[in-house]
Amino acid sequence: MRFAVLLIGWLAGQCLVPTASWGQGTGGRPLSALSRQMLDFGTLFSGTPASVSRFDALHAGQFELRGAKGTEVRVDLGLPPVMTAAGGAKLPLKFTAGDGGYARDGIIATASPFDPRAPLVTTLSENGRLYLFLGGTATPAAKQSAGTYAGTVTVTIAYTGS
Amino acid sequence: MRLYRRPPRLAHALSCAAVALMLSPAFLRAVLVAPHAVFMDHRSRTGQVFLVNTSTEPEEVSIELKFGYPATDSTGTVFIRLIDQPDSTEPSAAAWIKAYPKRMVLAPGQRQVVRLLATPPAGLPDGEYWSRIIATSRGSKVAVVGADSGVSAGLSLELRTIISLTYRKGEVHTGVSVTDFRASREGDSLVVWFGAERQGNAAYLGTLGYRLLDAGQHVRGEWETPVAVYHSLARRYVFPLDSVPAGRYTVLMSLTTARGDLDQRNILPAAPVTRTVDLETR
Amino acid sequence: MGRPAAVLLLAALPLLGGPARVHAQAAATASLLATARIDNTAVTVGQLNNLNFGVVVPGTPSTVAPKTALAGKFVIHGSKNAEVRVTFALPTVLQTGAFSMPISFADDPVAGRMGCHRNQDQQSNCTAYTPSTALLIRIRNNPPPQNTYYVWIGGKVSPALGQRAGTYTGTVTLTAVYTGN
Repeated sequence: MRFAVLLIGWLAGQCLVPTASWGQGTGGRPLSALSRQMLDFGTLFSGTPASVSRFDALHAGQFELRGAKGTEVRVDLGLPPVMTAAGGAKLPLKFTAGDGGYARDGIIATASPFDPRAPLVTTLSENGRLYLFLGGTATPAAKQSAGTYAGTVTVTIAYTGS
Repeated sequence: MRLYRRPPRLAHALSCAAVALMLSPAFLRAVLVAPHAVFMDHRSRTGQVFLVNTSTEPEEVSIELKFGYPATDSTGTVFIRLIDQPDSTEPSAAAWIKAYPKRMVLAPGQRQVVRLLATPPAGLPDGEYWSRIIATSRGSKVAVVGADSGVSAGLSLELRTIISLTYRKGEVHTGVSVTDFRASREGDSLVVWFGAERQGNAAYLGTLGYRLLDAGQHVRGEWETPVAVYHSLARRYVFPLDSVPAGRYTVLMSLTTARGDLDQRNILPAAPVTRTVDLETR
Repeated sequence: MGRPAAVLLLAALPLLGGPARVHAQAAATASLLATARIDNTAVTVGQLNNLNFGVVVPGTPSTVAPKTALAGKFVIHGSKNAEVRVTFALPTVLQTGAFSMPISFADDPVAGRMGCHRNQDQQSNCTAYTPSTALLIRIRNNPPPQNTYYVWIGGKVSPALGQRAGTYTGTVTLTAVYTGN
């Protein structure tokens, strides 16, 4: 159990530290992506599915993307089908068309919807920012074993050249 | 890309409902309450209870705190002694722990965290304080099956789930003294009477194990049960003795603070206790 | 070291080693964690069937026995082997406005005891009891979803010969108490 907690802690650190990766593109301004908040389903119960809304400021996953002002970018999310416990047990995850939100001003309540399973093509804001919000549904099985589960959501942002 | 936008709460409720419809068992009415035992301490003074409506209809749920603890009646059966107005000698936390929210309507599949906030009186002595959390749910419909006209009958249902709440401040310690331990055979059953008084200033939470040993010290039967001694307990246990022949036996009782159903970090340690009693069956 | 401290320390490790950066041509990536904690200490009290009297004929008592398909059916899920005290608060009359109709859950000469219980969903093999008395049960000693206890109840309504038309209702309260024993 302690190992599981430590593992999750380390993974959380890897994911939550502003691990901005970047690439050079339009206008010479580097693209960068960083995670601002994990997608946190909190405490769940066997056989009882639970959803996190993309509007949930405390629990929705959040990314901040940066690049050249007003340029078009393509955003791809890598969504895990399951979260995994230290012992290998799997907890199914599901994302649907309404689970993604994006905003140029970072305001979650007025973010526009997008399907996180498909690429999002949009433009960065006038200060070169784009914010993504991610909800989802975890569906614990009736026999789901107790413990802490984790999975990794990745985002890739690239200039389209348009 | 779709551009519609729904109000957040509605979107959340709809997604919860859809998932609940897809995956939950066929409950007409059901409310999940977790955990089944809440522990709070004087440092954080907070706790939480989860409620989930696992049915397909809205549920109106209310939360109430009332002082109570497990006790036994003259037949050795456990019940929860709920006391509306406990006197000052009782370690009640019911009056100074509040639940937020107290009332709510849960949509199908909706999960709600109820926060517990303690505002204990100044100068509260070290020790353990108790309450019970009562979650009462009522459905939105009365089930009526019958003709459109004429006489029809229906019942509405209230579901009450009662769990324990323990609040600890400062130095807390527990123990138990065994006041009674008897065993007899009644028909095809082993009947054991177990009496105990709690020691210290906190409830004793543990596991009671019984072993039936024959003359050669071979284990002929083994049973285990959680036990909670808040003040005192006089329990009667009945275990099956189907395949045990007549003869002379020893019943070995062991009492430890291991609990499989609770986080061990919430269990106060105490020295293990063992006792034996002879049993002759015919 | 407490758990939160350990988590924080390990969460900070990437900072010490510097962010894991991935260079790409005009592309950038980042990742976040999706997390959940499964808690199996929940107790669920649920109703699976309504107690269904069907069409009620004035002047003719209608009885539903607890081992029939029309009986009310309840299930409790909880920690395996946990002791739960189950009680019913039962109405003696159903009402519509100022009018009432008797309902009984007492032992019946024909239908027998009006309650029945078992730790598995086996109604035909359940143990009869009188539902106005307390039932002290132990959750089936199995992990979810077999961590169950089932209770069925029947009842008897006795509409009078001149019973006024209407929908008569009453409230049944089922209380499930974790005893901690």
